[in-house]
Amino acid sequence: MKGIVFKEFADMVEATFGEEMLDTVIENSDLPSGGVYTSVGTYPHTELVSMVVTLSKETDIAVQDLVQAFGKFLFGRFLVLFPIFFEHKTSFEFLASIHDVVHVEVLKLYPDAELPDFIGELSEDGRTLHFEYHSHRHFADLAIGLMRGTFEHWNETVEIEMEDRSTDEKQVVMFICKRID
Amino acid sequence: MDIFDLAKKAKIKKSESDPQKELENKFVRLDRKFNREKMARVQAEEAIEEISRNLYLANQEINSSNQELVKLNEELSSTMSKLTSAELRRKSIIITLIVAGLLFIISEFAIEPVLEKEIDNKIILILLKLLILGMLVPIEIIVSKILESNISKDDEINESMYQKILEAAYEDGIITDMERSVLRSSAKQLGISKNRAVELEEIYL
Repeated sequence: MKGIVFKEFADMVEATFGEEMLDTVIENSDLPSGGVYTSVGTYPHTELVSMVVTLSKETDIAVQDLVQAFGKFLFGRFLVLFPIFFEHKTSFEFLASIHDVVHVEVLKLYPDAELPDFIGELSEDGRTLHFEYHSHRHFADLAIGLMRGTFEHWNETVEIEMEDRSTDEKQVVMFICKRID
Repeated sequence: MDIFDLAKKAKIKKSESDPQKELENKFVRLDRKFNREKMARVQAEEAIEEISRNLYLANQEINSSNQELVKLNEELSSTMSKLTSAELRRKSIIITLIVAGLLFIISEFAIEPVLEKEIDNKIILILLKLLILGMLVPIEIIVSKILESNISKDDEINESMYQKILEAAYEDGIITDMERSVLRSSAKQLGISKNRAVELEEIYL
């Protein structure tokens, strides 16, 4: 997983809970990197899982809630760091472009990035998006947070339904996003 | 729910109440943070150095391929020039042979019977035949000139092609080293002199 995700997570913890909490999370998690991250580096995703679990213990907030909230926070940061990717008219247009446009550009910047598959299909009336998420890292909750950030950015009300189709090897989730505004 | 809303619900253990102890803890935490930032900077510098080295090597490879390309273009240009000249020569010989054949037929069936009837002197007859043969030389020269004038029409086509290459090179407003090298070898290949290439570029700009 690219270091930018870890850096943003650390920044989020520090900005929200303070530098003492960030220190506690890093010290109490099993981090082979020692909590030293650079945006361009690549680190095991298990370090992020470990930090989230520690943060959950320290704050008594459910892991799922924390991961989703981090996804939303991360979307806001991507918006600031890479505004060029978000010039679409609607959130569905943006989500449908992730696999073939955004991820292609990300791979140009970070050739070693291991990206999840996001295969989106827009309905004919443009009001429903079927969206398949494939990943070995089981971060569907992060995807939900990112989607919530997306809908909020475009000021749209969208209902997200999840259908778990995971296997032992990888997480496969079908998201059905319906516009209700 | 965003992270700030969640933070309001968080149940966090209270930190050290002794101000002195808390200050010491804070110092330790900040020291750890400082060391992490320092390590991250070192890692970032190492990453930049590696990227920079890879870019340098890739650039070297591009330069080397470019030089090979220029060399190949020059060889191609020289071969094309030889081929053009051989083709000209072949055309010129064919035309001269056709004219010689015509002259032979005219001379054999129209001029010679008349001359043999009118002139008894064999030497003068041979001299006249040699004169007819000698006419072939200026004919070949004239044919070559005509073919060369057609080549000058080809030059116009070549210049127009060069202008198109110029347009493509200037599309982004910048001429890179590679584009400059391609322009040079294209000019050479199209038979455009260095001065003429500069003139064409000035006209384009």
